[in-house]
Formats: sequence, C-alpha cells, structure tokens
Amino acid sequence: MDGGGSQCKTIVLDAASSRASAFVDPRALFGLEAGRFHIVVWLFIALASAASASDSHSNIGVKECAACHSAPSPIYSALGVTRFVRLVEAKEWLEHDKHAYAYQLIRRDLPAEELRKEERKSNLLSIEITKRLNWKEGDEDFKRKCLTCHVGYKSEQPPSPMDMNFGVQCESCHGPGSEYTKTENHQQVSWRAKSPQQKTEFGLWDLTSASETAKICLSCHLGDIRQNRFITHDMYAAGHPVLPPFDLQTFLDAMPPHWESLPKKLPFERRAEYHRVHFDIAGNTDEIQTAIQDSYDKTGRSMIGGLVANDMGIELIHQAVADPHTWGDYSIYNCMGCHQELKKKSVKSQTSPRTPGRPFPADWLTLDYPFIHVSSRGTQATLLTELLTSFNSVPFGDAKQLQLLSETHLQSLQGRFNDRRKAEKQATTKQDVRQWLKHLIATRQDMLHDYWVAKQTAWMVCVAVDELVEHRELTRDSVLPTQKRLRELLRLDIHLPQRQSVLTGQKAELEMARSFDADLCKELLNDLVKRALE
Amino acid sequence: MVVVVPSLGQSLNKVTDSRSGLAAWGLSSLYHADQGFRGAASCATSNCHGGPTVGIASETAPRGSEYPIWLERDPHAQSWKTICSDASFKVMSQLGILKDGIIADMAGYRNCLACHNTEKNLGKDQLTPTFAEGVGCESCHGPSQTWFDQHYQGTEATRAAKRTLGLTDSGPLLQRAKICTTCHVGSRDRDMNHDIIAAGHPALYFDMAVYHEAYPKHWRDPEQNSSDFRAKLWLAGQIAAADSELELLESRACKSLPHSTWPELSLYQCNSCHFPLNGNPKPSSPTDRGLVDGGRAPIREWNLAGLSYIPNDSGENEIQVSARQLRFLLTTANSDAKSVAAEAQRLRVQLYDSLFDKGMLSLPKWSSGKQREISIQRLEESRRSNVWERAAGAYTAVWALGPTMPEGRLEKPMKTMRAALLFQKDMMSASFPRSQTEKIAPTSKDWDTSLLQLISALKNEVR
Repeated sequence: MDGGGSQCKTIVLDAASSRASAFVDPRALFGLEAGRFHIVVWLFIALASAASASDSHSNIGVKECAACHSAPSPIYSALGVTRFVRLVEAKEWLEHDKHAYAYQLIRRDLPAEELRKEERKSNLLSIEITKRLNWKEGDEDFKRKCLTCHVGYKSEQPPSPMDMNFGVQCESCHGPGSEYTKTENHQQVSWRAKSPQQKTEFGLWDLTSASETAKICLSCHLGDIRQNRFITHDMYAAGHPVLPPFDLQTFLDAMPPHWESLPKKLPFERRAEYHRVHFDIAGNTDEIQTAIQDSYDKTGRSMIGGLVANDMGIELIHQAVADPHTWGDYSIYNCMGCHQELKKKSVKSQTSPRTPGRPFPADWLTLDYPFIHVSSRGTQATLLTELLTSFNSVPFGDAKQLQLLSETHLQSLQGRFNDRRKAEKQATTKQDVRQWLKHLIATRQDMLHDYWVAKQTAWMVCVAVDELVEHRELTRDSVLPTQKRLRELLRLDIHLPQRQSVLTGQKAELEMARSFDADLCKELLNDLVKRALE
Repeated sequence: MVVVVPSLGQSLNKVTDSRSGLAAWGLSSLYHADQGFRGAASCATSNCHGGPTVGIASETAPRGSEYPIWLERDPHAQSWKTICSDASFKVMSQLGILKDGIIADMAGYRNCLACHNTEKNLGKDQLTPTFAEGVGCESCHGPSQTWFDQHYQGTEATRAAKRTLGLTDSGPLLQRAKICTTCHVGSRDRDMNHDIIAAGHPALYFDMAVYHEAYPKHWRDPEQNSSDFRAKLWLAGQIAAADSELELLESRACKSLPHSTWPELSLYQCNSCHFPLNGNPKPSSPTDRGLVDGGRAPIREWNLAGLSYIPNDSGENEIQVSARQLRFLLTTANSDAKSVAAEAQRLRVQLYDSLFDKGMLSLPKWSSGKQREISIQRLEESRRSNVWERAAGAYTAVWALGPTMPEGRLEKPMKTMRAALLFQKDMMSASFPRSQTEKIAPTSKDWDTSLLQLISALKNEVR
C-alpha cells in the first residue's frame, strides 16, 4: 500500500504541472489506499468550494469522484450507505469499462517501443490519421476534433493532463461536479429525496431517464456538431473506424455496470421514496414494487433510445446544413451509397423513390421508430418522407429545404420530448412490448438490406425478446436457435476486452456490411418476431 | 449575347461570346436550334452520296459511297436502335423519363435524343423523332436546310463559304474532334450526367485517336498515311475534349438545362468513391485514389488533360493557372457554382486566345518530341499512382505515338499495360471498365517494368 501512496504523489505532481503527462496507466491511481486519499480530497474540496461559489458548474476531475466511489470506506459500510450506493463505481469503470480507455487507445505521445506492440495499433492509426489530415498546429485539432468524444474535452475548460488519461470519465456522462459533489449536497441523505430536476440544477444529469441517457450517449455515438463531436468524412477517409449503429439498451448491456438496474435497486423498503420521486407510478409501496418488477424496462429504454436517436439524427442534419463548413460533408450520407463496386447490385434506400446516382442520407439518421405511447407519430413519419424527398431533389440534397424541414422538426421537439419524458416514467407493459415488436418489424421490412439498419433492428428485437423470456412469456429454447444465427449473421456481439480497440473487428465488420445475406436476415428477424408474438 | 472583355485577349471579339461555344469553332449549326433537317436519306441519291461502296478505301476511286458506308458499317447509324433497346428503356424508366411507357419528362427525353439521333423533333406519336435514323449525316455536317440547295448545285466554293452556310468543316482535325466531343463529352445542350450513368448508361471515355482508328471512314484523309497523323488526332481530341468539358461544366454550373444537376458527381474520378470499403486501417495511400484533402474526391482528368498541352510562351501560362484554380474550386467542400462557371468561361476564353490563328482555331504547333515528353510525363504519373483513368490516358498517348516510333519498340510493354487496364473491345469500351472500381491490378511487377520500358524507349527516341 505504501508503494501505491508514492505513486499517488507522482500523479498529483503530474497533474499540477501543465505539461502533458508521460504515459500513465490510469489504474495506477487506484493502487492507493482509499481512506487516506479520501480525507485529503475532502479537505481539498472544502477549500475549493469556499474559494469559488460560481453559478455555472465546472468539472472537478476523476480523482475527486474516485476518492469515495472506488471502494467503500469502513465507516460507510458500517453506516449502511453501501446498501444504497455501491461506492465501487469508479473502480468498476476503470477496470472494466472501455470508456476509461477511450483516450489511451488513441494517445499519440507513447514511446516508440510501446507503439510497436500489437495492442497499440489504434495509437499508431491515431498518429497516422492526424498526419493524413495535416493537423499541424500544436495539438489543437486533435483536442477539438478527437478528444471532444474521446475524453469529453471542452475548450472552455480543458481537462488537466492527468484527467485526460481517463478517457470518457465520470463527469463526461454524469455532468460537471463542482456543485453537486459539495459535502452539503449529494453526500447527504436528503439528496435521495430530491427530484431529478432538482438534481439537474446542481449539475448532476438525470441518468434515471432513458432519453437523457440516450442523449448523452448519442452526443458521441451519433454526433453533435455544436459540441465538436462529429466525425467528418475526411476523418473516416483518413482511417477512423465506422461508427456502429446505436441501441441504448444493447449498449448499456455491453457496459460493465457500475450502477444497479431498477428492479435490483431493492430491498424496496429503503427505496420507496426514491421511486416515488423518480417515476410516475402510483399506488402503495407494494403496488409500486410490483409495477417496477413487472415493467419491461429494457425494451422501454430501447424504444426511447431509438426515438432520441431519430431526433438527434435530424438535429445533426440541421446542424450540418446550417454550417457552410459541414454542409455537404459526406459523412451524413450512406457509406454504401457510393462505396460500392460498380456493375453490382447497388444498395438503395427503398423508403422513397430515388433518382439513381444521388447520395442518400445514412439510414440511421432518418430511421423511423414506432412510438407506441403517443399518437404524434404521424407527423414524424411525414417529416421523414419529406426529408428524404428533399435529399433526393438535387445531389446531396436541397440545403434550403432541408434547413426548413429540420427547423420545423426542431420546433416540435420540445412537445415530443415531453411526451417521451412522460412515457419513460410509466411502466412498459407486455402489451407495449408486443406492439413495439410488431410495429418495428413492419416499418423496417424495406430497410433491412442495409447492414447497419439490420443490425440495429436485430439488437432492438433481441432486447425485447430476451426480456419476454426473462418475464417467462417465452421459453428460451423457442427463440435461441434463431437468435444465435442472427448473432452470427450480423455480428451482434459487441463485447470486447477493455483495452482492445474496435479496430480489431473493422475489417470483418465492413466485409459483412458489403456481403451479408439480407434475405436471410429478414427471414430470421421475421421468424424471431413471429415466435415472440405467438 | 455577345460578351466582349477586351482585357482577356484580342481574339475574343473575333470569336465573340465564349458561351456560344461551338460558334468559336465555326460549328454553331450543331446546336439543336429549330433548323430544318432533311434526314440522311436525302443525301443518299445514287448520283450523290448513295453510290456503291467499293472504291472509297482506294485513293483513286471517286467518292460517292458515304451513305452506304455509314448505313452498313457505322455504329452511329444504330444509335436510334440503341434508344429503343430494353436496356435504354430501363435507364429511362429509372430516371423517370418514361413512366409506364409514356414520356413523362420531355426535356430528359430530348437530352437523350440530342446525342442518339440526328434531330430531336418528335413526330405525331410524340415519341419517335421525325427522322428516326440514329446519328445521321446532319448530326456532324449540320442541318441541311440552310445549305442543301447550294451544296446540291455545287455552288458553295470555299470552306469559309460553306461554314457561313452552316455546313460544318470537318477537314481540320481540331474542328473534326470538336464535332465528336460535342456528344462524346457533352455540350451546353447535351448533358450525360451522373444520374444517367447511375441508371445504367456507360460512362464516357472518348479518345479521338482510338475512336478515329476504329471508325469505318466514309472519307479520305490526305495525310492519313503520314506517321504523325494519329498523334495529331490525339492532340486535337485532347484539346477539343477539354473545351467541351469546360462548356458542359459551365452549363451545368449555370443550371442551364433542366436535367443538369449541381453538384455534378460525374466530374469526379469514379473510383475515388466507388471502391468497396475494406476496413484496412492503413488505406491505400491517398495518391492511389488521387484523394484531395483527405476525404474529398479529385476531379476527372480524362477530358481536362488537354489543357496542359497548349503551348506555353513563357513559364507557366495563364491556362495552367486557371486550370489549377478550377480544380481547387471543384474540390472544396462547397464548390460554388457561380465561381466555377466564371472560371470555366475564363479558361475557354484563354484557350481560344491561344489557339486562334489565321482566322480560326487551329491545332498548336505539333512536334513528335513534344508529344514524347507529354507521354513520358503521363507514364511517370501512372507509376506514382494507381488511378485507372490516368494510366489509361497514358496508354492512349503512347499508342498515338506508335507510328512515329521504330517498329517493335513499344509492342511488348504496351501489351502488358493493356492487359492490366482490362480494356474491353480494343479500348472502345462499350461498358464500364471493371478495373475502375479498384486500383489497377498491377498484376505483378510487370506493370511497373512495362511503364519503365516505355519511358526508356521514348527517351531514347528523344535523344
């Protein structure tokens, strides 16, 4: 433990210097004894908060969170705090979550002997990419265009060189911690009874809400030009791997959980108040408990995630059209629309009549998701059709018209957002799941020839089917063979060792996108849904 | 409309409006105005051009068999049939020109007819042109209404007089090449664009020397046996193609045709986008696809290469400067249509300015040494990159030099090159060359060896 202590000093020194730190294995930080570090940090926080009581929240860095959230102190265990909060979150994330390596896998300042290692090929590629893009002026482009996602870099508050090491870290997803981490806030018992809205005012983002969560994930996993989180075609052409399609629940499942899922947040007697505040479920304690246990939570998140992806996709189009630097960037179009061998059967968007030879938007940007909770779907479907028509009217789309359409869409965003917030607080029933599956498969029939749409659809269907199995509405055996074939056909498994780059599977992924058996995929998906609905 | 920009060159007022395109070439009658056509059959009287086919190949035999040669051997006589084929029906249906067998887009249909038939006025059925004959006499020689009587009576004496009447002068190679490129590249009233290619029309890779060689000629060229004839044809084709490409580009950027699009994707090299993604973390070096600025597609060089062959008076001439500017404009994120149109127009004015000689546009002074230099340069470029069209262009440049070279020097390396380029039908590529989508398969080190052999053969000749 003493060795750990000295290592800690080194790191703190590193952090204090403004120069980029040498290669540091982030795990080294946690070799220290939690309790000791804890007290130091507490002192530090107390001093810092006394010094500045600013309204706007700012990031405080991983070490502040890790002080408590890497291992429960004996006092907390004795007090029973760990029955409510695990206090191993930072450790789980650091040891198992790929996000913690988002920076390590692309950092360029490694010694030559390190770069020669096989597992460092993504670092080598990162060096190559910046070279190919001619990013010369210091590290600015790398920070503004890469680290916005790979770290959560904000130019107005750049992370310390040490925090950079941790990639996508606590505050990248939970919100800037300057306020809520204060002793009088989230460390108090009273904090539990605060509503998500109240907590948001302190800077803690509401991850009990599926749509808020999806928005945070998608700001990188789909893109957000405002935050400089946008993989341009130049970046892809220089070698950046393709962004996979997104399904909230599948991605959450793939993450090593440092949280507890809702039904597991039991024993219930200590949670009743929490649930009352967070979810619109009426009734007495027992009724709430039953409702939560019966709810098809995962499928619910999948649905909500899809709708958010749809909104953000159109928002991305809006951002791209509005900015003359990004308008016409090929990355918002379907890769296979152009990147296909000539004289072969071409990939076509079959959702609307199309003039041959014109790029069409990436399917995942304009996918229609059935929204079973409210009836506002009709206008959304019309909007999508209009968007596609406008994309087809001239090569790359009619910018003016697209801006107008996406503007209209954004105006109605708040209304639909409220609808969703309402919906996600309700329990998702078995009927909802069945409806969702039915609609999903019906609206996607003509689009499954696109590998990425097929993949995302399969993820969503599998989430729902698995949940039906969990709730004993289906037997595992009845769906397993079909699911297994789908998994292989579409490479549905996304579990990768923490320190392994996604580059490993790129070649196979693209090969599959080019040559996968769309007819078989359609058949399997239809079969799976049919079995689930029987 | 007459644009006179004195600062841009003395020839401009002579060639008048550069936008008039063919007018500068004395070929304005080839634009599809409302001139009257009489159809190929009107030329086919046995006393005139409908005589027996024998004799035309012999220099001493009298003329008179042009029509039957065209009718029986010339692929141009088949082009109306091509329009009527199932494949064309499919192309036109995909483009929305035909809907349920009825013409739904008349402008689009006329755009097809503009190249595939002598004229595009429709008969009573509103489907078949009045003279459904393919590309007939008047397609290249001009609609006959204005000159038929005098021509028939033999009263039009001089070339200039013929031109004035609208009978095109296909004698000078440069003018002849321009007649071809009006369709084989495009013009302001015919645009074969990316939409049409995507619907199934073959992409255009015109090379004057190659096509001329394959053409069943209904005329005799006095120079046809001279060793540099093919090379001059090649040069004429390169320049005419560049001019037509610029004319078309300007028209597209001004959106002067209803079916023209902007941005226009066929301006770019096909294989810069059309290649299968392979997920190789080390993509082929950017030069392999000639990529500009990371992920931007480079423009097609096939038709614009000719701009480099206009003689330089001193250092880098203004044409090269403008050409570079045009490339830049076309490869920036939002190629601004107005600037592109202006730059294309400027280039054409500069082009006419430097070609204007003795009252007409003339082929620049040609020397075999100069063309060897050009060919060496193009072969060197092909060694540095694996771009199909660049290598194929180098091949035709060398091929055109063939007759000027001692026999046997080029044959073996040319054969290797031909095999790697996967030409179809002896370079008259009727369908899209497969190798376009990929890098040239430099099948072995033979590829580079053959390029080096060619370069050294040409260099020896220079010495």
